[in-house]
Amino acid sequence: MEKKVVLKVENLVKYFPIKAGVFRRTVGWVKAVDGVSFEVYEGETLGLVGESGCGKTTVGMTLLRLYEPTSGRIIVEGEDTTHYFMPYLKARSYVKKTYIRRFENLKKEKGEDALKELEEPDKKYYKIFLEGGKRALYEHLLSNLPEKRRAFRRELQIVFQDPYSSLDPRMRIKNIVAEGIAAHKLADKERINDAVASILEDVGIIPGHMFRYPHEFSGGQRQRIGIARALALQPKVVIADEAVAALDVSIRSQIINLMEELQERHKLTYIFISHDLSVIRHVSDRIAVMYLGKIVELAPKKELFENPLHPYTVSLMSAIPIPDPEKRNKKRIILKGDVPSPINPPSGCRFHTRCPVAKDICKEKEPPLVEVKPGHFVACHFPGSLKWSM
Amino acid sequence: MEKQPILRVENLKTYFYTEDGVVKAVDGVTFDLYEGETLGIVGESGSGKSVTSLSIMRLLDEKGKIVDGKIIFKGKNLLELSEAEMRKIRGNEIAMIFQEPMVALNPVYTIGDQIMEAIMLHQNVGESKAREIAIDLLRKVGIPEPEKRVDQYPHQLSGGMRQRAMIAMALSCRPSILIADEPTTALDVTIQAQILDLMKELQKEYGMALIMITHDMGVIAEMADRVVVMYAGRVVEYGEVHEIFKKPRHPYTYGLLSSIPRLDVEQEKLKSIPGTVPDPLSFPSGCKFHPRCEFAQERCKNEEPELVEVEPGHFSRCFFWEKLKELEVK
Amino acid sequence: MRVETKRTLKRFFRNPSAIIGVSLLIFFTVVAIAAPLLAPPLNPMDPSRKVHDPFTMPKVTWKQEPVPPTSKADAEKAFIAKGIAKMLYEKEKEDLVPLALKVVENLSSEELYRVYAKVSPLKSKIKEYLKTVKDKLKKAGLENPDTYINSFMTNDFLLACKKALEGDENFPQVLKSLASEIPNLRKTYLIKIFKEGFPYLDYDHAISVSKEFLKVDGNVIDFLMEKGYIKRKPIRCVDYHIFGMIDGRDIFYGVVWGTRTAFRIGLIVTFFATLIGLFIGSISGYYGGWIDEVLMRITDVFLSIPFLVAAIVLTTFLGTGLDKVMIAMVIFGWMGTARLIRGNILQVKEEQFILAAKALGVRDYLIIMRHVIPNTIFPVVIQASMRMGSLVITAAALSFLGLGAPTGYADWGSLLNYSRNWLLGAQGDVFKYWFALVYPGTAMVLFVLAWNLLGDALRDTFDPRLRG
Repeated sequence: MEKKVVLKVENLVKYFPIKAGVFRRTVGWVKAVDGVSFEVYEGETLGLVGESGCGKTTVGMTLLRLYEPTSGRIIVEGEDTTHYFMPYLKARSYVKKTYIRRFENLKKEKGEDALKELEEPDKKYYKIFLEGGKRALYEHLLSNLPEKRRAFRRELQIVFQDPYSSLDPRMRIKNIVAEGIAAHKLADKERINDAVASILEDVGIIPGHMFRYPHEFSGGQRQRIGIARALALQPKVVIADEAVAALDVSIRSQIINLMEELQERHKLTYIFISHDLSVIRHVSDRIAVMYLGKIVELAPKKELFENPLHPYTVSLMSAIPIPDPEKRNKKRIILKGDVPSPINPPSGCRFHTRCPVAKDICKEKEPPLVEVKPGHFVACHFPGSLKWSM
Repeated sequence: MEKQPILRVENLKTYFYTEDGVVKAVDGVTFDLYEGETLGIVGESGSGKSVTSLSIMRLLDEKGKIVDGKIIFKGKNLLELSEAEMRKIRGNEIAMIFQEPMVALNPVYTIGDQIMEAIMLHQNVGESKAREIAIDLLRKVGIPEPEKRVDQYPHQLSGGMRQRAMIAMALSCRPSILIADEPTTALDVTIQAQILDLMKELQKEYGMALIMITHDMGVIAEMADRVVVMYAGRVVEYGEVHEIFKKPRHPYTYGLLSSIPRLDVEQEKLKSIPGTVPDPLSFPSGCKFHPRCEFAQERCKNEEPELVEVEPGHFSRCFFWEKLKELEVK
Repeated sequence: MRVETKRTLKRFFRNPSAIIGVSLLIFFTVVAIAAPLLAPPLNPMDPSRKVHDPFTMPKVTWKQEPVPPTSKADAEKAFIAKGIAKMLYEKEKEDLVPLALKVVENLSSEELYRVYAKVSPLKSKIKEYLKTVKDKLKKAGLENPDTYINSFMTNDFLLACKKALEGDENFPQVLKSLASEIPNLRKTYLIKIFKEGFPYLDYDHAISVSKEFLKVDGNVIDFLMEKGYIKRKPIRCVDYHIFGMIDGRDIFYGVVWGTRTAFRIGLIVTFFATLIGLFIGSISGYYGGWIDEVLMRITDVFLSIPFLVAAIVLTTFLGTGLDKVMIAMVIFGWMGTARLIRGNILQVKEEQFILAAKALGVRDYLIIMRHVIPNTIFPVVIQASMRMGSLVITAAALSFLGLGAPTGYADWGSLLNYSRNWLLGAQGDVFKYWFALVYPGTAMVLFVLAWNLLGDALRDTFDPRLRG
């Protein structure tokens, strides 16, 4: 069964400069995300899990283009969107670098045969290039950027972690939810109230409360409002960045259930970012485990929990306290030391400093993310060498 | 079995007099703590679990007042002691570690200075001896190269290391009770596992009683011998850890346990407790949990249930605890 | 919001400093509004003004009703009067000419007749006045009253005026000499001259002429503390000078009308400085990057210039005067706001609701207007209210340096400036002239205090860090 890819990330890199001194010179880089690739299928939930500083939130922010990626491609619904938020000249040079030069060589070497080797969206772009030359491709990729930007904003939305800081305390709920509708002119002025009311009802807020201010609501209700704000644009993909982490335990399950219901009702695709593997296990279809800016393991949920291959995944699972006193005396793998700094990540495999099964090669050579079973990717020289069972 | 509790909290009531009204943060909390055991206090925000611990230490700010109750530690009522006497107990007999070690540690002094200060304050030793003890303690809590770390400032340590340093400081006077208020909430899971492991080990070694305050049922299951479940300033259930997890006798505990996503089992759909955590300024009448309770009846709205012993050592504040028994049978 | 507003107001008014601050400000506002009632402007040109003040120069009043030109001779006289003005217009194309034209054109023949008719009684009136002054001085035990009269009269204009009054045939020459002195004239004297040189003008007319002539707002006359007495020395509470006098001016009048000046300086300067600061700070904070760098370095440059030196330099370009001082204070007063708002924005910018708005595709200017400014404005309001008071002090300091309000302008700073020579009191009586310092000083202290208390209370109420 071929599933439709809605979002594809290729080799995403995001470095933050560290500035110091009087002239704010860049003295180093925080390598928050360092070469992350994954695909998200329509209607699924991809869980992104990792400890603080692993870059999972940065991935989300970069996908939404709240941060500009340092390099890499972000493909939404078969269109390269990487250059959408660049200034025009930069976007043009990006297109030239990424496509035109490559296609020119390809045309010289292979001509039309190259079409067979190419994947989407390169295939589509190459076709345009063959038919209309580079002008047509420029036209295709660079025309109407403001329009494309707006369309992009509608496709991808985010739900934030902190229900307190994510709603403007000085705005009424109605205006918070209506802001996106107004920005994209999705409803007439007279109908906005109705639109807001129906969305609020959808997330379980009494529509009559829409003229209240955020502080009149509890954390769980605020998170519902945050979800309503994202849904107002009828997005395809919703990125939930630690959406339940700040909530009370008894509220957490309400929000998780709500998000699951909404996913079904609106055919949403989720990227669920969390540090809590239990939550991720509950909500996700596939899970990507991140460590220090890289994906170390990516697999369907069932496969990952039955057969975790990366030592980090295994130790993460074993470290989580199980709410069952019967299981307290189980042997657990306790990792030594702290997560290294993303400014100077360790050489070779980034996990080798803490890995219980590390060997010499791990220090020198970085393991690539390889598919060991269909759909199960792992980046380890010795996958499966650390054993632990639930 | 007649064990004498080392700490006994009796009908503790701590109210906060704020501009917006009286917050009854802790309203009649009673529990015992025995030597060497771990008591878990679990509850959501606003349940009063942290205020309970601050009341025991008498570290409330000026708005908070202990209006009623007794805190009996080794036969003395802590609430009747003078501030000077209390200072001798604080840190020496009862120590506390906090959620955010960065806030609890003074950023302008080295780790060593702060540990040594505590040692010199309560033990009659000189500076060089105190330093030796401090380095020993740092080694004991698993800080690598303690000779070097002792002269470092809190910001030079990572979160996990800081929490270790806090623990070292708390242990410096070999307290008989250690109160840990959400000690691992700010930490990553792999670091949390390290710290929990360390605390277990140290507790065994020092033989101290531990009060573990957390919202995480996993941590409770991992650490506690007995559990106090708090809701809206009240103890709603109190008992031995296996009992609480296997045979919850209060709908809140029951709901809480069935609403958490579990790592070890696949769940179809999570059960959830409806409604919201009540506003501490206006707790509901009657049973504080009744607006969210699936078993609530008319009686619960008007009358507050007493904490009743449903089984030896297992208390529940619910009129209809037997219904949960039936539920379990099904 | 209603509940929240109520709660906030409750919290605000439970704060004692808020109550004191607000009541002080209400008091000052009432004083400022009711100034014309509390201290009626002592306009020297007002013919209806009743004089029963021993310390004010007696006004030349004209009891004689104007006689309409009934006879032919009278008509001729009026014609001659008109001719005088015309001559002035034709021969002396000086600054005064447009005025003279206006005077001549606007006067009816009856009024011109009045000019003619009243020139002669004027002579005796002046002599009468000088005599009363002499008598008064003699009674006070002065040996040589003439020198005192002269020290008061040495001023060229008054001398000219005197001459004009002594012999009406010199009248055009007097006007001419006045015209050459106009740029140097002090406003008080000018008004006096108008009063005495054009006695035929009625009050409204005098105002309009002086408006034209002085190129100032009519209100300026209200703000003048009239120099009613010769001596500069402070004089204790006499008659209706309930706060006493200094420099021959009524302190009560100065304190009351100074309230208006204080409000004006505070509000205008704060408003414009805050506006500029908001603009620069929000651009700098929101966009960051090199824009921020450039704007913040500019701010640093402004901050590194000592304010008083800059104000002195600026007034050499712009000229002295209260408005110039206000411009200087605006130019060198926006940096605090800019930095404050920038800092706040940097903080708010990291808030998730800003990111959420960005992710929704809301335009930048809407994000600034709808999210950033409303969430950062409160500290600025608080800072502005705190600054309101200190600005008055700064303005007073500039007045003290001679850069601020013109002489005789109702301004607390000017009053304090007058009293600085009398701070030590008389020999053997240190506190003799306390009133000269205490009344305007108290007003200023209370004004500054009121704003600071208000600012404190606002901060206590709205500071997010103190919010529960």
